[in-house]
Amino acid sequence: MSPVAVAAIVLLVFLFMRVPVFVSLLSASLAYFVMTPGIPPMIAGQRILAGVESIPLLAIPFFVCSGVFMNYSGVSHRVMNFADVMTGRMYGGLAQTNILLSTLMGGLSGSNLADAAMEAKMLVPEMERKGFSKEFSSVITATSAMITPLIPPGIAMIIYGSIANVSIGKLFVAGIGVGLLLTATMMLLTSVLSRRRGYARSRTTRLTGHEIWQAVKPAILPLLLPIIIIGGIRLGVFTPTEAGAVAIVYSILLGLLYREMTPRNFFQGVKETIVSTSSIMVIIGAASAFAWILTREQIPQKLTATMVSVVDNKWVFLVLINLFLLLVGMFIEGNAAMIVLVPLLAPMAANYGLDEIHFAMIFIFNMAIGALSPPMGTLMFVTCAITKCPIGSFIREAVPYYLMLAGTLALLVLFPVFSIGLVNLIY
Amino acid sequence: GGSSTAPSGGEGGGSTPITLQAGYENNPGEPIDLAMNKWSELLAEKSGGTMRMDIYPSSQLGSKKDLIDQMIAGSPVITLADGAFYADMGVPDFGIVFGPFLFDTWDDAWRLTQSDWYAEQSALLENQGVRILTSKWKYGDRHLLINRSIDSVDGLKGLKVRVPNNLIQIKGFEAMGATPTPMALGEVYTALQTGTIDGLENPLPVLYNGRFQEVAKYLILTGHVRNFTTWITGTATFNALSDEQKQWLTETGDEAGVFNNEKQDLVFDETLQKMKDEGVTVLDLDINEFKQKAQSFYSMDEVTKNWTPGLYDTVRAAMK
Amino acid sequence: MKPLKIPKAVLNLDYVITGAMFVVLVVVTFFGVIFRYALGDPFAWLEEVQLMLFVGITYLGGGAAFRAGAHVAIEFVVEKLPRAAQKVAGIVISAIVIGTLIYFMLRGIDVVQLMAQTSRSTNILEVPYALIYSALPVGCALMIINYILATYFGVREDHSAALEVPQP
Ligand code: NA
Ligand code: NA
Repeated sequence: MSPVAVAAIVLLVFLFMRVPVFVSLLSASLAYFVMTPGIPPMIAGQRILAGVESIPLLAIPFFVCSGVFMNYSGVSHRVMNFADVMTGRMYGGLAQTNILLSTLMGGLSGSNLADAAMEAKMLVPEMERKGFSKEFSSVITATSAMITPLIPPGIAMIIYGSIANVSIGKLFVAGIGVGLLLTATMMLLTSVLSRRRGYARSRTTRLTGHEIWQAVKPAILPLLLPIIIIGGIRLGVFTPTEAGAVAIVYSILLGLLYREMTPRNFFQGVKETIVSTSSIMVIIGAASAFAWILTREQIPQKLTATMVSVVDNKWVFLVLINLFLLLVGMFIEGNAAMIVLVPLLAPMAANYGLDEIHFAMIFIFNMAIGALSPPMGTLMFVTCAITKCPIGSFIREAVPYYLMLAGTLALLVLFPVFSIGLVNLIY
Repeated sequence: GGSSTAPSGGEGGGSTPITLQAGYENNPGEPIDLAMNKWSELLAEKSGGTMRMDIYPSSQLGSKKDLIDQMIAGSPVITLADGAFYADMGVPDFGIVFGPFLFDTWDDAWRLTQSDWYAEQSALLENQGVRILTSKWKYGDRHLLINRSIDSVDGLKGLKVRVPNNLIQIKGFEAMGATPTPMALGEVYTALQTGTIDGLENPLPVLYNGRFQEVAKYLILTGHVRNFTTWITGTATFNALSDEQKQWLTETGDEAGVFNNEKQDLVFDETLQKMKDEGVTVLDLDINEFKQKAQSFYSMDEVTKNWTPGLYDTVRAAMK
Repeated sequence: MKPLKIPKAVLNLDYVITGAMFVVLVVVTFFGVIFRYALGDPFAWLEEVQLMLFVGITYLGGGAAFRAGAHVAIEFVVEKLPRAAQKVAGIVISAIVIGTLIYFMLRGIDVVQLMAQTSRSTNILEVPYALIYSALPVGCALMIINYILATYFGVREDHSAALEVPQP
């Protein structure tokens, strides 16, 4: 058997054996390097270092950190009050608040886990008091946290852009369209379910202008940040990467202004950033080594040739790719999957005449769904760990939302306007 | 045939050809890439299929720096690199070939590659584990594209010009009075569009392929660097080849280089016309003024501190 | 088993080092924007410094990520196995993790040696690459130690605690 085939088998077997994802990738590379004559083993070390030496990926620690700091700086509460005022009269009151909050926080944070953890802690107890079930509240929290990294800034777009050489600025803009589409479909489904189940609205009366202003005013400064980020990138003041550092400084300033952020919060936030960054980046380093092996063996070319000779229709290709990505997303951490698969699949998609931004969004959305589905749904785990919701009941309650996600994915695939419309408008 | 014994091949009919892997940053379709396809063909032909060169465009095998490390460690890879890199690899004098206005003509550059000085430098490089295979490859004249019209070299004052991240090119533009700004090429378009920077320098095809003419409309044909490039492999890989194989490899490399240089000239003319058609104004300035201003580069302490004393004169003499 | 007692000052050393690196990273990046955009005087050394700090944070933080249980793995297959099989799987997994990390520690040493032999350093600040890349072998060693501490000596910390929000 060829070394690269052995490496692929080692990868799959180890992944399912509870070997950490990055170690599985490293073991697969190890197998290849040991079995292939004529390659100096030093290259194994070089490739995992080279995978990390990337300026665009610096945005990962930056946006993880800004996400955590936003939670400490008192921003979350202010944005939540604002979201509450906006959605209070909708069916499913607080559930809608929960969804809108994730959308709004999306502009401040690039981390779905930070968002899910924050809302599970802050909103779910309140939802339970208002009569929502624990399962429903948890499902809403976890599912809506998917929106946060779709709205720029988002880590997945940074990684995708840097691997596939697609403008990260454009991917950010495309993410707005996709994120808002998901917000809309999710609010719609929640409204229908709430009406049927008799979940209360938060209010039935209109608020006075004064009351609305009282909620809007504190949220103005936090909600300025997304405008600063997109505007700053668009005007060339800073790069998407540097926007992350700007977001951190802004969150610290707000924290000081609101007198809510303590030195202890600061250190805890830095600690969390280190742990998250390292655990993502070692996967990226290891995946780069593995991807290098595939390139050296010219697997992308061979695979594309095979695919093109077997499937000559763009739509059949899209259906196959979506099924494949959904399956991959269920089992493999999204960032690792992206590093290994984007170099294989992006050229294929280009071959079928698909727009690069459109395909990027399809890819990213599939991976995002994976964070919510068993067996490896990190969003589901983080949320349920905090709300103490059993995974089994979570999954049962989530069925309508899984269907909604599938429907949204179909919209995204069929109508490129949701992903590239806004990009064409702005760029 | 089959009488030549492959160094790695051991005994037997030698059915597995010696395979080299050539990696480079250029994208498919660029002159360098076309010439590499040519080289690969020529080598297979000349060696009767006993030597093979697989090509990996678009940095697929790693960055230039990574590939050089790979070859030093013994991997059979080939990549293209130039003086600025060799300077970082412990042959500091080699950096001067990237100095501003070092060569008046391309023939100066080619004569330098034939000189004793060049042979000495190449030998030093070989001690570092890197062997030059072929040197007569045009990468292109580097020109300056900026977002405003200027009257003379003094107009460069305060202009933020993107340069690659190496000391020679940074100091070269400092000498000309500009504010050199190292930045990844991928970020330059937006940065130009919005005035974060005011210009960049590169060979015309690179400028055109990056669509920089859309956001910077004034071209100065400075030709401040006659950028020739060289193909290298690991000393160990090279020494493991038979004399015949060494000859096949370097000869076909030179042949492909001629092909490359013709393509580069053709592409230059085409590209210049295309840029003009797209509204780029070529500023008619006295390039000699640029050259005179840049001369101070050769006496900057940061630049010369690593050089052999009198290097500039040595090199100027070697190319005449 | 009772968790092994290790003084906090020793255990948190990796946090202190990588945390300081991160703070510097944010500061240089932020001021890099200001100096380039507002003052027109970009830092030539910015990219170099950013990359060396990033490599350091990634690999030197890997051990802490083991203590925090943050390295993701697919759990559900092994969890479905009977107890005895789980025990065996646990030993095999440990052998894989430790063996693989040792291999990459050695490869990291290869890289560092090559950098030292060829005296490679960064372009502007001339920081030796041997120093920058030593983060890989040192990081692998830290990961091995912390993996063992977390798996067999109960030295763990709660990862999600840092994500929680203080109530007003
Ligand atoms: Na939410
Ligand atoms: Na976001």
